[in-house]
Amino acid sequence: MNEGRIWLYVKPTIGVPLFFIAFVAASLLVHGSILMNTTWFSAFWQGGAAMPAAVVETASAPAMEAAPVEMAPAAETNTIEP
Amino acid sequence: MADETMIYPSGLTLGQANEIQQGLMWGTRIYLAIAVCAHVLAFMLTPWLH
Repeated sequence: MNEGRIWLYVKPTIGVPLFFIAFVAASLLVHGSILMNTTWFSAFWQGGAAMPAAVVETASAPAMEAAPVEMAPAAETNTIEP
Repeated sequence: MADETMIYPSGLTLGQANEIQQGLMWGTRIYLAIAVCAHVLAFMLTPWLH
């Protein structure tokens, strides 16, 4: 097999950007779907304090030690009720 | 057998095409390695898959 022969017939100026766009589109589709279908993904981006209580309980211990809920800057203003 | 000096429809020779393919493959490998690291961190630090 010599997959590189594709560039003998597909111009790299067309094929390489298409390859990159396909990669990015697939990544954005998967991560966007997770963002739209879970509650914890957006809460995670908001910061540890905004995570629902159930999420905080299941999160790993090292993460909690690194970013205690009480010390997070958004702890008092942005809380999401589960 | 392919001729190394032959110009194909894309304007490249076989050697040039293989060089582009090698570059893309290494870029993909590096991208995937970074992605694996990111997903390990995401698994450790978020409720993902828990």
